Amino acid sequence: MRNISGKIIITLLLILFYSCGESVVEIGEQTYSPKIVIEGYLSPGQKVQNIKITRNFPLNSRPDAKSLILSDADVKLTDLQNNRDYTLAFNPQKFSFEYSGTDLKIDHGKSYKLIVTAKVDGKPLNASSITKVPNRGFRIIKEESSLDSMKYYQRDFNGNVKQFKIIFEPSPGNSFYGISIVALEATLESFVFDNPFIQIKMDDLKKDFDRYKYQSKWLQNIKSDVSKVNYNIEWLDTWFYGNYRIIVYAGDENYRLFMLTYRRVQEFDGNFHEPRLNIEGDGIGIFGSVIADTAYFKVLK
Amino acid sequence: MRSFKFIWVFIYIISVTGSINSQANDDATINGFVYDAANGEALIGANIFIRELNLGAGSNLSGFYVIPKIMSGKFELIVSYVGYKTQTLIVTLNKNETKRIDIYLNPEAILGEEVVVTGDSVRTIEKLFNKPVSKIELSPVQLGRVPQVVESDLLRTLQSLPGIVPVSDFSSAIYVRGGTPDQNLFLLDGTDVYNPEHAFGLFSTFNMDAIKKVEVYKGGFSAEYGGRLSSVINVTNNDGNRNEFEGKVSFSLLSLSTTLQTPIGSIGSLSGSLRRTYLDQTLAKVIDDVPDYYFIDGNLKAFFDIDQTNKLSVSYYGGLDDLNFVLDKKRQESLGFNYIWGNQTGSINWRSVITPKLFGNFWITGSRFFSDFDFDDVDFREENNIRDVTLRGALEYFYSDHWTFKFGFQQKYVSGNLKQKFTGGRVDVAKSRVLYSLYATSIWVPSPLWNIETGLRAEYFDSDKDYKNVDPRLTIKYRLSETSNLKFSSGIFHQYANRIPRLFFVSIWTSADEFIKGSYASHFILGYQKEIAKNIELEIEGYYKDYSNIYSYNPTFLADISADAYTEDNLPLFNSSKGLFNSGSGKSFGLEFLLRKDIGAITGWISYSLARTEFTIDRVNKGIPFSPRHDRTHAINIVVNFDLNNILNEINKKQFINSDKRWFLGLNFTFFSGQPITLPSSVYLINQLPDWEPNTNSLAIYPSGINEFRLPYYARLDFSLSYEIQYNGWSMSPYLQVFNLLNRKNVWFIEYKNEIKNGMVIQEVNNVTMFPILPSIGVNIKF
Repeated sequence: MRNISGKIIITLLLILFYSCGESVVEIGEQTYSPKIVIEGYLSPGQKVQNIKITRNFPLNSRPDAKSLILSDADVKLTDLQNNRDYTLAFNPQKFSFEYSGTDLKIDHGKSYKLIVTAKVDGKPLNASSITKVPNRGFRIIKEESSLDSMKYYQRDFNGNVKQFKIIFEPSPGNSFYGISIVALEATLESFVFDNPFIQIKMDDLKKDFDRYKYQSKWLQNIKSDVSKVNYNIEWLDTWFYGNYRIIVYAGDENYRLFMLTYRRVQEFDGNFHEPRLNIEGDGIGIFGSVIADTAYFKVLK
Repeated sequence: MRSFKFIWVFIYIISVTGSINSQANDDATINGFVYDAANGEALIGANIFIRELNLGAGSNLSGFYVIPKIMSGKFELIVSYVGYKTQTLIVTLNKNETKRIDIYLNPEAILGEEVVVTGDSVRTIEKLFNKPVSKIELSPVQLGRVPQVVESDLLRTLQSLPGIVPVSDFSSAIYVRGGTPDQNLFLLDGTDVYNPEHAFGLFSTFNMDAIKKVEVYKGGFSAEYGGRLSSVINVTNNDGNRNEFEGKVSFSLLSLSTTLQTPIGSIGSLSGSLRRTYLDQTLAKVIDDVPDYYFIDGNLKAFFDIDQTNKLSVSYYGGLDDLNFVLDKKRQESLGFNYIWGNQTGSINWRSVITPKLFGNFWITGSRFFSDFDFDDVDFREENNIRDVTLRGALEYFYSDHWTFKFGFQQKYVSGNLKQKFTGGRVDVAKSRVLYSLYATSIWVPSPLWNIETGLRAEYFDSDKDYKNVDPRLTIKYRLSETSNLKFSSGIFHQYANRIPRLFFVSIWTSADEFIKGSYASHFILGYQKEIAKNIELEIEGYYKDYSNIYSYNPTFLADISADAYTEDNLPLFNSSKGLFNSGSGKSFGLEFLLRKDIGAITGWISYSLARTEFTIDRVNKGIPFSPRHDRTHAINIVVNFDLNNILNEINKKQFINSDKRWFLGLNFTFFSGQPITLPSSVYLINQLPDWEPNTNSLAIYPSGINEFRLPYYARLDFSLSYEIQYNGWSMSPYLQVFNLLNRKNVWFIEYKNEIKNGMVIQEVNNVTMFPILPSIGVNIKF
């Protein structure tokens, strides 16, 4: 009997011991592996520039953003039409790589390969990616778009809420478009506090200012043989009074995969999964190609 | 045309069986039903035993039993059931006689009297031998006494059984022996339930007050069941009290529920339950952050004794969740949405003693799941529907004490549609499927030491692309000694339905088609059972499962879906499951120990399981095998309930006192080793769009290898205390439940925040924990 009582007491003590306290996951160097980070786009008819080559860094570290730039990296662009290589040089003013020669022409429908070699944490790393520039034909049809200016949340005679509308001609064969909406005069004072959706407190606005200033949208599976595509700008994408810049990008497959997956890496149960980045080797990020067209509109008080 | 052929084949089988019956020899047969004398409910799994001949049978899901091939003579018939007084009858049988003996057992506890808990006079080892491999049965009392979140819940209680694990505190979903939740077949009075969850998975749809019996098959189930790879959870609701009116009212912090049962004259009974949460009518009125949300569900079941050999029951379940969310309740045009979803099931079940040795069970069942989401502010609307109409027949033919045959059919019509409207396109999927199934099982008892069950289940799935399969099933039981059994079970199992789990939204079901093949699994189970002491049982089971063509939700599906067509407005239209799943294979193996005691002042179980699951999925982890999130290597569960008035009597082996005031204490300890997790590996600077300046949101996370790490262990102690007062046929039991009594902070996942301030990257990594200590109170009143 004494033997059984002893076992019960020990079991109870173990249960109590294990059922209290706090479990913590320490994240640090054990999860980290160095990578080359590429952020660069080619655009037809434009110089090869603003190719940013940086490195990743461990969680819980506090690096200076400039210290992440891999200015010593070897960066090479290959024109896959003729397999000719072009070496990109680092521009210390722009903190990015570029090709200053005039013999490289980026063209619609053509493919290019970027190859990066760099040392990170003393470890030699390689990364490469191929992009195919979208076909000619994409443009915003400004004369048919409803942009210009409008009062915030303006209603028409029937009481329906009006919206800014953009109409563009798609690029033949291209079904993915990224949209950038940036409030050019965003300040704490120009914020629409009396919006009909949600009350935003000044402290929250200060903390998340850039989240309201920069808005992104994407359209995919757009029918490529149509002559026009309509896109209505939601009032949820305009949080400030003043001028806005809207840029529509006809993006390649690399850009599509990057934009659709690079931020959506945490699932609803909190677990993470890999993004789909078309970069071979030890690289992450985006090397894509886009055709961009820009328009402006204004939100009045 | 195919349907008619199918039914004709079945009628032919019945007629052949009838002719076999007419050729029966001179031996006698006993059959009948076993009932609860207090309320007339049929008792499932009662033991009927002829002492002199060492012959016995168990009552089936309808409470029916048959003991065939008995020699003539005078015998002692012992009938027993857990929690009921054992009844002994003297039966005299003549040659070639068929005797119908319906048995009414009295519940053990009788108010105001002193009774001795004799336990079950049929030996524990006998009950263990009769039980199918990997099957666990739980009664409403056992289910109700396990402390849980706010109120008792069926699926959460099942999570404390060996081989069944949850993925977090926030989900009542169950993962059985490495299988995913969509591999579990939920049956409510014979009807499929597709999404058995309320409150985004926090609670299950099953109202505990309405439940009569729960059977859980963790694997190796017989040919009678099919359509899922991993498990069967068969819930039978109360038929209703056939003797007198009785009722129960329960209040908890979450809900108010009532269950009423009444006889319908002398021909049958009626049982009804209703439950509703009331946070929307209380807290939501005064606290802005509490959304207007409620769920309501109700069961209705009528039972009719048509005559001595025919019984009919009609059962209905309806449940609805309603969420009306407004982001800022003070703003007239604030962002908000309305979301409703629910299940409806109905069944008509005819049970018939077709001949003294042939028992038939026939169902017409209907099941509907629907959801409707309306978020006009962002131009999003979704409608989701599943409808299932099934015809099912199951026959048991008790040929002799050596042979029993079971056979049946099922014809299942399932249709589903999903419609979504959003700015960038439309989803419009409408599919109809038919699943035809036939099964046959023979149970051969070559000697008292052996029991061999062989079965075949044939299925034909009529889809965009048709599939067919014939699945063998085998179970062998062997009595090793007076107190121990050895069991083995194996089989192949097919599944043609897959569930897409979604953030916030209820899951969507899809089926095998031209892009998605049918999934299948093989089970191998070896079990050892031992009667440790009177009423104390030990079960040890080892299993191996492998899965083929299994599908997991593709978390990057946005990158993989492509338009199937275009609308008149040139918007993409999606009407197939292309791109939604990643396909692969997997395996699970493990060892489970269960020590269980169902009778006495101290009841409950202690279990330990050692398990391992590995999936290999295309496009995940570069095709290298990985452990899924629900893989828990070690799991320990201790569930103990104490009848505080009688603990000392049990320890000192004295007579039990049946007082009208009783205290009950419940403890539930859970320990799981850490589950796999993919952690954020590193951070990098990048902008979403080419024209953006570096800003506070220019940081992105790159994850580690898939589920490369493990969370710390999970542990929790729950506690419940209830006090039952009985007076003049009424009883009231107020209770206190404390979930996570010692407030252990179990990590759920890692939350990561970052910003760039003055050129510096500032990071914050937080451990998000699961439920803290959650005390709750309530009261149950019975009359």
